[in-house]
Amino acid sequence: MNEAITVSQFVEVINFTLEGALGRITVEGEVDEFKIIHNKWVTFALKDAQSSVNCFMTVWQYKAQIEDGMKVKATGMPKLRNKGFFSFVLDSVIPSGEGALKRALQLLQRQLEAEGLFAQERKRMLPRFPQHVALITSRDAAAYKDFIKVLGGRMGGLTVAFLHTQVQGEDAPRQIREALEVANTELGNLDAIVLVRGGGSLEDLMAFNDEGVVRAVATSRTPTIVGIGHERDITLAELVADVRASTPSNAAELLVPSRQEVLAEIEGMNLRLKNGISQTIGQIQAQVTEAVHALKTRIASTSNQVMRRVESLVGLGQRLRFTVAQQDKQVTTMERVLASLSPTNTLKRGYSITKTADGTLVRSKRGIKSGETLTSVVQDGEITSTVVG
Amino acid sequence: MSKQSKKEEFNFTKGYEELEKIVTDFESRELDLEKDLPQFERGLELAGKLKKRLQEIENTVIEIEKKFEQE
Repeated sequence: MNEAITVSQFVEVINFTLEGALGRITVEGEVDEFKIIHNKWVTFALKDAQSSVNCFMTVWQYKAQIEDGMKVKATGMPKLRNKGFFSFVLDSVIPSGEGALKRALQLLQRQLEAEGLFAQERKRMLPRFPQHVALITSRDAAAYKDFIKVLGGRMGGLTVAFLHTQVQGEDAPRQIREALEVANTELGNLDAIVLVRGGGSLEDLMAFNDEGVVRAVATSRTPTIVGIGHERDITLAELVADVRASTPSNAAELLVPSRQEVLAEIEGMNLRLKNGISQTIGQIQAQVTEAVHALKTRIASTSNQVMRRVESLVGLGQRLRFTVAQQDKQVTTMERVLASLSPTNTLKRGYSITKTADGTLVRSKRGIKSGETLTSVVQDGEITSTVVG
Repeated sequence: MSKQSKKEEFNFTKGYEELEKIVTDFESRELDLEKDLPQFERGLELAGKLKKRLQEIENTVIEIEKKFEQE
């Protein structure tokens, strides 16, 4: 006969046996009666067509978005509780299957959106010319090669601190979170953190929809640029990032401008600078030319005035000479008239001048007495005569 | 090491912004040839340095030795 054991011992033995027999086990089923109690515990029933098992977990271990009817993979240990009821104590529950993943994603997206994590005003600008960046991805992924290759064709001179992590699988979210933490705290002043991964199924990309990763991206002190999958894939990490790239290659393009583009900008500024100065020099040249022209005009006008003065003086001289000549002519005429009027010429024509003895000119017979002597001047001499009557 | 210190001497972003500022300033007012010539020369110097920096085609990738994978 077996010795009796206490109830507590019985529960302990059963739990020990279950743990030994099953260990940590994952069960897939549908969620029913999902509840969060006092924001501390999560309870739901995991069921299939025939059976149902009560599940229990703490809120801090609950990282997915679950609702009734969702298919999940629940991982934990079966346990008989002290009160005698059986419970599947979980440390992880994740949506299972495309439909459930999509639904969980939808629920998380709705919640984060309500918190304002996707708001445009939260987005920070990346520096135009980053110099130091951190790159988080898997070294084995095509995304790494694509990003580095495209980056090589851009501006250059960039230092990339590369942090290798898994980008899919159960441990990927934790690794990515830690890499983000390291980049933000241990790598000095970074201009940006780049998180990239190539395309894949929704399940492959789930690390970038993990609430912890999404929140770590959202709260990153360094601006983030996230490019996950192909263009059509959108993950929540991309939605909270400061810059969303459509692919890893696009992340490189958005991060660093092309060399040609920047070179053209610098050449343009160089030209604008030179234009500014040339224009100023041109203006000064024009001013100098104008001043020289004004001076020349002034000199020309002064010399014109002088010329006019000289010309007028010359004219004056000519007029004077003419006047003098005129005067000369008049004098000659007058001389001729005078000459014609002189007594000598009159005498030549046969006239004579008669004077009395005292030299008085005889102009009339009055006063002339008989016997008086008169002298007549003729052309060639004098004739003395005596008055007889 | 010398490459590193050279990089620290000339910050591309600051150089670019300074050049942009000079160009904008020059285009916004009448220039005084004598007074503005030093700025003009500074602008040309910056453009030259920026173009030189663009010739540095190499990016440097340093892998951070940090194991995130659990042992």
